[in-house]
Amino acid sequence: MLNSAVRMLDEAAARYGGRIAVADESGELTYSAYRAAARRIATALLRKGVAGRPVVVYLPKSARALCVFMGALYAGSPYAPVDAHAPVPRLEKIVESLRPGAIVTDAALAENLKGRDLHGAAVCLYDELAAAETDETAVDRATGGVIDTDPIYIMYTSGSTGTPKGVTIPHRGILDYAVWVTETFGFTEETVLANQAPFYFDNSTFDIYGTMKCGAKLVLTPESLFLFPLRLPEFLRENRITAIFWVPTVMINVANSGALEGVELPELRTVAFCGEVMPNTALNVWRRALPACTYANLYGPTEITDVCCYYVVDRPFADGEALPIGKACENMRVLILREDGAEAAAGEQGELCVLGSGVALGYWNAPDLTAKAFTANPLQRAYGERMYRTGDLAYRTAEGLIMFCGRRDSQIKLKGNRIELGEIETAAVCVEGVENAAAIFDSDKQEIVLFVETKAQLTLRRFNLELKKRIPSYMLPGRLVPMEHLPHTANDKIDRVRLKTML
Amino acid sequence: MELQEIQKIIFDYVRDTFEIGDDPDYTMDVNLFDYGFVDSVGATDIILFVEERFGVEITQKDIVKYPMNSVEEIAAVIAEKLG
Repeated sequence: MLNSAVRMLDEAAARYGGRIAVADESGELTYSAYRAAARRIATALLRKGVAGRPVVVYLPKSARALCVFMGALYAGSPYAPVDAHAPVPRLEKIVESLRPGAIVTDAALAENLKGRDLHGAAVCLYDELAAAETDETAVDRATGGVIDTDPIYIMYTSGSTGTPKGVTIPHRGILDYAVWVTETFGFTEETVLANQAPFYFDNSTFDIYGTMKCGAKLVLTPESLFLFPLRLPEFLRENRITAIFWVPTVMINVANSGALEGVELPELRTVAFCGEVMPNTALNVWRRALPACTYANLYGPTEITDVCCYYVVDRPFADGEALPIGKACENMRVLILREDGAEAAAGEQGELCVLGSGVALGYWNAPDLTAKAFTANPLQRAYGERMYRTGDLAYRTAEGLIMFCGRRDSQIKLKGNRIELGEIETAAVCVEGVENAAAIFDSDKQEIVLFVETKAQLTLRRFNLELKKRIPSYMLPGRLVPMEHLPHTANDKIDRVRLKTML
Repeated sequence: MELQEIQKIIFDYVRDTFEIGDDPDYTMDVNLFDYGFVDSVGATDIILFVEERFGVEITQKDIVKYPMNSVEEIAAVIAEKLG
C-alpha cells in the first residue's frame, strides 16, 4: 500500500532503474539517479529542519526541479512550485501565506530573495542540497510518517482580491490520478511524453506522475519552442515522442503555423489537452494530419487533482461544434447542481461540482475561502460528503455527456492560464497615477481590456512594464483604455455591463 | 552579408509586418515577445521570411540552442549560418 506519491519513484527505480526518467536540455536522468538525487536532497532538507513544513521550489523548469519535488516528499514535506519568472512581490505574498520551511533555488534566482521578508524560511541552493550524503534511516523515517491524506503539493492560482490562493492537494489524489492516466492512455515504460505545462500549473502532474507510475520517459520540451510552434512537430519526431498533453492554445498555434501539413509522426499515439476550450477548427487540423492518434479532451480546475472529467474523441466534429468534457474519471463523481441545490435534469444548466479522492484539501492558510468553495454535498444527508464547487457552468446531454458552458463569475481562461480579473485590477491601481481600474475580457478577440481612470498619459507597453512588477506576464492586458471617469451604476459600483458595450 | 545589413532587413520586416510604426520602445534588442510586438503566429511568419530571404534553415535545434527573442538575436543566428 502506498502512503506517499514518492513510493511510485521507489517502485520505478526498483523495476526500471536503468531507464531514462527525465530528459531536459542539460541531459538525461535514469530512475535510479532520480531517486538517489531526491534522497540526498531530502537528507539535506531534514537537516535544515523543514520538519514537514512546505518546501518552495523556486527554480526554472528542469530535471533538477523534479528532484527537489521528490526530495521534499521523501522528507515528508509538501512542495510548492513557483514560477521562476514571477514578480517578486507576488512571490512574497505566496511565502507569507505558505510560511515554508525552506525555499530551494539557484544562485541567480536567490538574488531576488535578498532583503525580502521570508518569514524564517531557509534559503537553500540546489547545488548544496544535492551534494549531501544520504542518511537512509532518517529519510525512511520521514517518508514513512506520511499518510495519504497529507498534502503533496500546494499550487498558487490567481485570487480575485489580488492575493494568490494556495490549492492544497493530498497524496491520495496523485496516487489515484497516476493510475488513471496510465490505464486510460495505456502508458508503459515505452511511452515517451513531451511536457508543455509549467510545473506551477497542475497539468504538469499528468506528465510527472503519469510517466513515473509506469517507468516511462518524460521529456521537458524547451520553452523557446512554444514561441516558435512551427518547429514543434520536428521536435516531436526527433525525440520519438509517443504522447503529449498540451494546452489548446499551443495546439491551435501549431495548427495555424501550417507545421502539420504533410507531417509524419508515426510514433505519436496520444494527444490529450486541457486547460481551456479546444476549438474543433484547430482539432480537426490535427485529426486530419494525424488520424492514427487518440485525442482526449480533459477537464479539471486546480482544486481537483488535475482532471475530473474526460472525453476521448470518438466521432468527427464539425468546426463550430462544441466538444464534450465527457464523463467523470474513475473514482471521481461529478454533480451538476441547480441554484436551489437540486440536481439539474438532462439539458439543464447548473454548477459543476466534484467529489472523490482528487478533491483538494482546501486553500492553504485560508479557512474562509476553503469553507466557501469546499462544502457538503447537499444531496447526501446521511453523512457529510465533501464537495468542490467549481464555479463552472455545465449541463449533461441526453446521452449523459457533460458539456462545459463557461464561468459564473469574473474568472477567465487565457491561453490556458486561469486569471481572476480582480487580481489585475488590484495590481493596476498600484501603478502611479491610476485612480481606479476595471478589467474586462473580450472573448471574441481573446484579450483582456483594461479601463483605467487616470489623468496621466499612459501607453500600453509602458503600463505593462509597471504591471509586470506585480503580476505574471500572462495576466497583462492586450489593450488599455484610459478614461477620465469610469462609468458607475446607481449603487456606485463600476458599471461593467456598460464597459462591455465599449469593447 | 554584413551583420548590420541582416539586422536592418529583419528590423524593417518586423516593423512593417506587425505594424509597429515609430514606437520608441521598438529597438534592435527589445524582447519582441515580452513586449507584445510579436506573438507565436508572428514568430512563424518571421521564420518563414528569414528562411526564404536568406536561404537558411532554422531548425528546432537552433531554436533550443540560441535565444531568438530580439532582432539582434535573430540576426546573429542568420549571420552564423551564412558563415
